[in-house]
Amino acid sequence: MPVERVPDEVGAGEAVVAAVFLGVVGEAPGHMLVLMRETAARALVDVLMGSAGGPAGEGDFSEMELSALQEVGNVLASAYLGSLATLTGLHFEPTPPAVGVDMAGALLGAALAEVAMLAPGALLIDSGFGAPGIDSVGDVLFMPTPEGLETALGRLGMAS
Amino acid sequence: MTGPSVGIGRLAASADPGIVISAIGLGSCIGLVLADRYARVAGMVHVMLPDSAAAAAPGPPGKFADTAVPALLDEVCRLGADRTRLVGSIAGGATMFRSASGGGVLRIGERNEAAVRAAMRAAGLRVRGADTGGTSGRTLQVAVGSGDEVSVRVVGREAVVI
Repeated sequence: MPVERVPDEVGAGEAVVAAVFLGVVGEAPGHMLVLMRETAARALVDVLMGSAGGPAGEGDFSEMELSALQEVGNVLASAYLGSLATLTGLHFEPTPPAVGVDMAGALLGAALAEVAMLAPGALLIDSGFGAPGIDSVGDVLFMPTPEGLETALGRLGMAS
Repeated sequence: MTGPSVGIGRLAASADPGIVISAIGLGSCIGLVLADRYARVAGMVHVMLPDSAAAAAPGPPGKFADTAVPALLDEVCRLGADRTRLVGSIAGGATMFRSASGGGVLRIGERNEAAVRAAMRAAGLRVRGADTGGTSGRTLQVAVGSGDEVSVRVVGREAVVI
């Protein structure tokens, strides 16, 4: 779909989310965006850091907490790409991630602008994910370039 | 206070007093308002990229700074605005992602702002108010009629009139 329609599909807006954005290089290149709802992100940070910084409350995430979120996003993206690699036999590699915590629309728009520089449209592969004790943490969006998509679909026997 | 929400690449204008036009969640995108207080007409466009010629694919005119300004100008004038009375306000152009590696993500916001300002100059229009840059997402609103007040909301901060 055209890049500008993705926010409508994903349901962005002013809701605060933690987002991890990274590029994918390899045989089927593109971008990935991991979105985590704010409350879930705070709960995850609590679990990861053993509430070292006190109870998850209001206020900005600290540097360490942002780093932890960035890692979570990185791990999720890598797991996702690993599965895709197994399915397609292709090689995928993530680029270093970037993290942001803010209005979903703002983060999504910024990521899509980057995607739009490389590709006319986005194929959105949207997978929800959860964690033990935390329902519905967020979504993983995989946006391959058109060439990347062709390559991947070809391997899956679904080339156009 | 209700009114249209302007998504990426879209444009909305109104001469209906009481209508509030919004662009929700501006990150690296720029929201541009053109308002004629005397005629009580205001419009808003949500710009994603700086240059239509450099784009990987065409899109609606509102998507690119260079085509968005003329498109919004045409629309507000069509509703009765006088181009010599139009005043512009912009918000957005932030750097949303903190990255260890730097790169393209960090520049689009700045480039959008520069491109919108350049397109405004090219059209002979003035940018009077701005809330741009930084690292926060913004919601831009304009209340048509009643002075065409333009305000910006940021997470964790009171709304600011620009």
